[in-house]
Amino acid sequence: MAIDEPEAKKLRVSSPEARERLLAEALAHAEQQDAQYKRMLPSEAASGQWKASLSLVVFALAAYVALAPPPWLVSDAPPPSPAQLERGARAALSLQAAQIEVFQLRSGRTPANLGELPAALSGIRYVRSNNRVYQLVAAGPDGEAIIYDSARREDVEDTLVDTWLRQAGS
Amino acid sequence: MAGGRRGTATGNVLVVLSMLALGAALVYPILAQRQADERMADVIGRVEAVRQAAARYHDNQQDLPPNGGVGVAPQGLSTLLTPDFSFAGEGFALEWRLWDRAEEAEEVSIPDPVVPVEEELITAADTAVAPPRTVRSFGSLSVHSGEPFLLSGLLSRYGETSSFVRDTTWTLLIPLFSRPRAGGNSNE
Repeated sequence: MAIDEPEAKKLRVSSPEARERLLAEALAHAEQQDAQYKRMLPSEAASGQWKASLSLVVFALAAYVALAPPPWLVSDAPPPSPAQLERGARAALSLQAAQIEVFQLRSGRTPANLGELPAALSGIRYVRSNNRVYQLVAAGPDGEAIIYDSARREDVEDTLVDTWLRQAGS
Repeated sequence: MAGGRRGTATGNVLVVLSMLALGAALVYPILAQRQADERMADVIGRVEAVRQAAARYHDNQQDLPPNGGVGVAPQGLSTLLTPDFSFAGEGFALEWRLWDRAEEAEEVSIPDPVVPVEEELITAADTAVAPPRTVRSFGSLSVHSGEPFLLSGLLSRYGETSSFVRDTTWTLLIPLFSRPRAGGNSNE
């Protein structure tokens, strides 16, 4: 059974003027809203500056931590000190001199060069004076020469190897 | 107006980025430190393993293993180490090396000669006999590395009495000695 409601349909139909008015009102409202959203509030402008400043400070802090990490953040052992490196150079000279002494003992002469020895350390210069006397020269941590003179062995302070050998009970 | 809103959004992004950068800057050294600690533990573990293997070799053979190259296990020592043991690791290499040393074998007592008076002019230096000398080797274990923290870490762990650093090498003197060998006579 079809129900015909001609009266209701008639009531929904608006006039062109009314439609124009409604559309104009809707557009005006939309423009008003848009304008309101586009306008930056005074507090927003302030917070923008604050954020820019904060980020600048945090970036600077990050760069500082990355380039020069504070000691509480990294606990790397410091590199060997110049004194430790000098001690190492003296120990190396002492070890090398011991090899030359053994060579001398076996062959009755000093070696012509360190290549004749079974164990030679790099970075040590060997200066042979005669069949008994020689000098060994190594560069210290600051570039100064550290010299081991076989002729003045008695004057040479106790080397690391001598001390160690005594302690090891050889 | 649109520029202002875009500026605010950019500010937010900058804040987030800077926070991330700070976080990364704080976390990176901690991770790097952890990695360095692991490497240091790795090196110390290998040094200890070689020391113990050398001591066992010395107990068995009454002698020391021969020289090995840098990063190369000496002959006879690798059998005393685990099969996967390597003398080279990340950023470092081990080297076993022997050092000779001449020693006086023992005191030689020279009895006072009974000499005629006319021969007393002969000086003591003329009759002095150099004591016989022997050669013994002792072992050393070196760690070659371009990482200063590894070298100084090893130096502080093992002390300056028995180890030293030179250039890019840390050397530990190991109190194991070879059998004495006749060395000859320096006065020959």
